[in-house]
Amino acid sequence: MVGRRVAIVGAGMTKFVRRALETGPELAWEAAHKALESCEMTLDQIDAVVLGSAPDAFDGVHMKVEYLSPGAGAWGKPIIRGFVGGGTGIFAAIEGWYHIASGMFDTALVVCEAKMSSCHPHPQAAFNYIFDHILERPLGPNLLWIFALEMNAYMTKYGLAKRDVAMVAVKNKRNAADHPAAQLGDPNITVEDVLNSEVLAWPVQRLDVSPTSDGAVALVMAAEHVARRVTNRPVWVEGVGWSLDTQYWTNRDLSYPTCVEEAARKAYAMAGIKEPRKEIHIVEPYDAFDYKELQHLEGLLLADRGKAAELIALGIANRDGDMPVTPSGGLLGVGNPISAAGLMKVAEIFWQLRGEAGKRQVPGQPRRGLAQAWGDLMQVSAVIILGI
Amino acid sequence: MERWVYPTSSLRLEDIERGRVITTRMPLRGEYAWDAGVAVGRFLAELKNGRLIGRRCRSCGRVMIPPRMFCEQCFRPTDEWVPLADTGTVITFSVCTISWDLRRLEVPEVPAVIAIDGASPGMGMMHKLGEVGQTLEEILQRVRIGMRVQAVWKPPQEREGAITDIRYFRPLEG
Amino acid sequence: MALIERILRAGDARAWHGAIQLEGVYTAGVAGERWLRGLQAGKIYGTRCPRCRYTYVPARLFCERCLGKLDEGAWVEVGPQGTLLSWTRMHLAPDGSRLERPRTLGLIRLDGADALFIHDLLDDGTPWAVDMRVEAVFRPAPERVGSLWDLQGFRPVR
Repeated sequence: MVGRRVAIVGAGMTKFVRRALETGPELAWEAAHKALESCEMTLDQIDAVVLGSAPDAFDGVHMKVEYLSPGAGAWGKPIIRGFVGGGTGIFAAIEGWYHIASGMFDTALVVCEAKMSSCHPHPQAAFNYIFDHILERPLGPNLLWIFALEMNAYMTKYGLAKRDVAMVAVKNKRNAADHPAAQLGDPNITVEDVLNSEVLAWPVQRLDVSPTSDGAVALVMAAEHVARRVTNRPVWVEGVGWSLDTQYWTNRDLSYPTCVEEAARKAYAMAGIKEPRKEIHIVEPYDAFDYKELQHLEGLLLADRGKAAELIALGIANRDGDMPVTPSGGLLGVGNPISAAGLMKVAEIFWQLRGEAGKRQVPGQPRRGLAQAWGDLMQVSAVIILGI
Repeated sequence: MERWVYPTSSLRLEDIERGRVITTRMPLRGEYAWDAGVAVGRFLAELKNGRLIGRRCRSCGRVMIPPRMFCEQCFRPTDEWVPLADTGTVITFSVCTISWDLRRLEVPEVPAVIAIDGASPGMGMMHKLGEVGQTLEEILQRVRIGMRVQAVWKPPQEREGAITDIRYFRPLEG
Repeated sequence: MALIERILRAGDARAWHGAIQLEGVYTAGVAGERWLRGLQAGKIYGTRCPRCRYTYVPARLFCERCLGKLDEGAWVEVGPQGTLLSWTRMHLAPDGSRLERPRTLGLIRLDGADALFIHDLLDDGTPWAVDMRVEAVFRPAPERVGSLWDLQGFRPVR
């Protein structure tokens, strides 16, 4: 372990919706307010604020951290904004961790927000601008190209059928039916529904993709001496890791997420984990697309390359299986406000380890969980390991 | 944990379109004039001449496309320009049936990552495939990962020094 | 070898042009929606945090000082008169071009509010001065739509 011991002591979130009436600051406040309420702490007990929010283009307000800061409780406090695309949700929790582990602050409020619905004609259009402005944008690309290219490379290399991948969407959307904040929970969805959904950019079909969402999530983190006063069930940060792959994405092996493995190894080393498949009881990998969950399980070294689909097929990844994967319902089911979705996964591990996950509760008193997020131009990953 | 989920207000598209909630609109418009830089500037000039060009780092030995003046792995300047072929191998592809703003396309587009002959293995660049069919079914019959392809150039007088000086890549065999 | 190469022929230097073209469609928010409807009704509202004893205008859903909720009971009417704390006269448009007619902006503490409010000052030849008393001028009711411009601006109290 590096630095002082740090725990998560509270969590809160908004519903994830396609378009909220709330402004970005109001969304941030709703989550922050619930997080503080959940552990009966007040804002004056918070020493620092970490804010995670994705491109300014979504909310359409430049210098977005300043704009969101009132809702995140940052008035008169030190604040930092981290941004690594979809990786932000986990990376923000890591920033909260090192604020406290360093000894500089005793408590931190971590808030991640996204209001994608302001971006017209469609939030996806904002992603056109992550392509190289000279060598790629003139070809008229759209965001789906990147995922479709990666999905095809992954499925072809390992001989996967579309059915193998669609099972992830079914598992997650069904899990999400039990999540009170879910945007796309569906207890009845089948593999056939996914296979029959319209082709967008082959092999990507509509039900392979997580939705566009507005939402926010917040955590309260504390040093040990504070954590033990605030709650009798602190959830400890046991390991963290993050890594970035080359910006030259067409030079990468698109069938394997190297940056996920690099981040995972750092987190496992910090947590002293030698056999992740035995020592991690619940995992929340980033499931922006169904195939990503499989690819990420492999990058996390929780499945052999090309073999993650077997965990789903054999029921090992079900909530009552040997290693539940995405019991929350994930991005595919709960929703995908880009920078907040990862923090939703951290909150899920937090609630699961404390036995507070309600209908989604994984049986058997799990003691250790891992949450992972991924983002930017398919190039960054952040991993956090929690234990109780 | 239900108590810790805030009852966020959800709107429908028609609430906005019919003015049931007050909205304001503002274009987010930025106009840019970018310098292409040393490496891409030369790459574009060579495209105008109907050629692809890469850059070698003598330390790791990679011949890189897109070319770059520094090697991001060795973290040192790259050493020389390397002319490349305009043929390559399909690393991966997709068949895209919708536009960037989610409207259906009449004829699908086929984006691909193509490893260019003469560059190091796995060194891909993004472009599109052409002459591979007009429907999803036709295209999936015709295109394979590992397929050999060749650039189809615009005629010299139409080239501008842009990635679009290559219209697309077409299958080499048959 | 040198990392920087000099371009020796003018024609070799080139710029690549592009644009970002998105549109922001902004909702006013839970508090903002209600506040704008208040303007439409010819009233300026604020929300008061009882813990911090601070009244925000425009009205907000939450207090940024304590993060407490500002609920139904927090809504109070403020103004329509207030005190001018500062003002400025603008001669340039956002794109840097010269305005045909200068535009005057005021920073106003409305009666009953703590947060400061910015809006146009209606020039009629009166010299503006800090600490001057000013009052809101609404557009005629049929012209109000639930917008900041339901207020025409502020003029000196007569």
